[in-house]
Amino acid sequence: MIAQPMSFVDGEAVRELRLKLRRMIDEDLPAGFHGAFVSGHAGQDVADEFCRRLAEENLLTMSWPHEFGGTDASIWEQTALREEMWAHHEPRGAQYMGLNWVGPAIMRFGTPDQLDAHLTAITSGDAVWCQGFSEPDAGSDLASLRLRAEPTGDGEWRLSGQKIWTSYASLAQWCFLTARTDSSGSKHHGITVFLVPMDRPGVTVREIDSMLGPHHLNEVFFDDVVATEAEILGELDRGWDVIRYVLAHERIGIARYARSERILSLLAGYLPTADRPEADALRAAHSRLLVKARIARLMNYRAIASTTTSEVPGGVSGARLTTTLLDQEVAELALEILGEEGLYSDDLAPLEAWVESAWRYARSATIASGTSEVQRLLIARAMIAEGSR
Amino acid sequence: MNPDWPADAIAFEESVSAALAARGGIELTRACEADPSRRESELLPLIDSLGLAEVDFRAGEIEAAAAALGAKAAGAVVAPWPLVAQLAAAPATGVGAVYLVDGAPRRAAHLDLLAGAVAVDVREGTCRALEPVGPLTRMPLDPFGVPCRLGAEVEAPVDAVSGHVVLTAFYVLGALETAVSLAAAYSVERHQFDRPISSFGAIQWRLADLSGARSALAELAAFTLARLIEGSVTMADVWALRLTTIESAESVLANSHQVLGAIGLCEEHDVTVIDRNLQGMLRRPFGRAATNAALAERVAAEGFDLLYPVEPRAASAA
Repeated sequence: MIAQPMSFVDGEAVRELRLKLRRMIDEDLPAGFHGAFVSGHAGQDVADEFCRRLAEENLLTMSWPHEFGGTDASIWEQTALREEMWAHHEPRGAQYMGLNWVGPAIMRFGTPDQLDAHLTAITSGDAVWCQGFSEPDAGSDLASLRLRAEPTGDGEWRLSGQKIWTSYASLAQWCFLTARTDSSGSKHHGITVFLVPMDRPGVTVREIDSMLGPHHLNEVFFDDVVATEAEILGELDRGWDVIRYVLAHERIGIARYARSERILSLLAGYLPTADRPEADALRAAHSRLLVKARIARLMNYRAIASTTTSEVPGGVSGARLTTTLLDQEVAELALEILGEEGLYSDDLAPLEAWVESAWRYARSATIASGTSEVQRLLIARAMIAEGSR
Repeated sequence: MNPDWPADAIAFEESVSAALAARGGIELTRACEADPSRRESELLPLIDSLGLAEVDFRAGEIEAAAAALGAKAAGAVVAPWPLVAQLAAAPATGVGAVYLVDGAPRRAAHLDLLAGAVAVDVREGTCRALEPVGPLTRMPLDPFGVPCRLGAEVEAPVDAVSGHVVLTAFYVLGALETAVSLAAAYSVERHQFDRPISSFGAIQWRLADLSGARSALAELAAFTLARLIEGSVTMADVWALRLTTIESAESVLANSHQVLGAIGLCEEHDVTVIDRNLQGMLRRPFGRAATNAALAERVAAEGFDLLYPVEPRAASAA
């Protein structure tokens, strides 16, 4: 018998946390805040300030263990935090990476010096990290990365190569960098993770203009950048272990469905009146997406719960696929409902121009952090494995 | 938050599945299509021995979960018995079976088997006796339809519509899980161009999509059942589940047929039997478009509960 009945209702602690977070968002974020993906540093400055506020309330790294400055928050409290942040333009900005997986990876693989050097900065809301994984020829096939790290013979390494699609690189102080230290074996062997400061000589960031907006996409060049032995995270050549740990930590991904729910809720006020010929069609489409949003959240909850119970085959990928497709459908419907005004990004735009930026960003939903094609492959593989039994 | 099923209900599902499998599973359904009297001679004793029809979904979490998972186990072999109608009934009030209708129905599935049937009109909210007026007519997409007529107005059992829709969702879910398993297994067994068809991206794409459709229904059905148990379910919730039942079924069945190719169209293949036997449940009381319209109407009237709820139109206009 189970200890508590089947229920999809927030517990008391999660309910209170949501209220507290919504209050903080209301009180501490300036009107019109749209996240850190705006020109210059202004958005991230607001995000940094908000992170310090979260840190003061012991909410910033609530998922972390007590010994590293966290509060051992339950998975459902962590989920609520992710949902509330994402539904409100991710006011942690670039810092979410440090909180979600950089810190945990350092806890798991780091030396005492690395723990000292990095964790406090993350828990206090002062550190911005970027993820140096993708390369021009290593996207979905991450293990094909080629950025070279050559030993200099005196305990140092020289990093040469290029990373690409690196979000927040121009804002980040640190890079969680994967490099090739040995090419003689299988491609999963010979990868090493370095924790490299972004202001080190030889590091060059070039922003890539894209329809997504500023800071989303960057190239990062490493030209004979010196790294020290002490900056290696985990074992030399065993970086794939670290990457797998990071990807497992990122497995649930961002709570896009929470933003979809909020947009759908706001859009209800913009549905056409019954005298418009398109009214019935749009109301039907809107109500149908409400259902899909609920389903996406439930599938994410199942994937989250499966970290402690039995895994649904392909469940995590299924949740991600459903969530990212929802993101695009909601963005498309939002433009349909708002019509021409949905295109605007100025003061005339409804919903503070959220819809047009959401629509542009939604184009990347089925590409970033594992394409929908890769997610489908993973789901199918899990099913085929079941079918083979 | 606890999305896991009660252990007792899971054990009940397993016992129903095992009993139905021991009687031939879908083979028994084929036999009943060929000779409808076998529903009473073979299926009824089995249902009685399991106590399946006596489970009361209104009697708290464990029984509601057992009713749902029992319906799912029956759906896994498209057991030809009006189990949902029976589970949604309220024998203490004289109602032996609940059917959902949209106006006056011409036929109702298995109406020849249970006394005291009533028809709840999902548009009007009325409830009337439902009486058979002729023998069962066997048709491919309506294999157990019985001509019927509406009788005198009677009182509808509590939660008749919500219970019926939720239990139907679980019956359909069971059938879809069987279809998913058959498609996945076949993709591994079937070789073309010297390799299993599961190695082709196009087939993998279909497997992923039918898996997603199955999971969508599984999660929403559990969620809606939990709300029904808590007493917080709304008609918007109910039509949301109904719409997902219809859409998931269409996706799983269509994709399963594509994976299976011609063999899946044969009467000897279980997917054909599942597909034909589900259609009545998916079209009664009405289909996708009408369900979506009913959902939109209820969302406007009562709102929709999300992390950021949609308010009722009157409230949001005010």
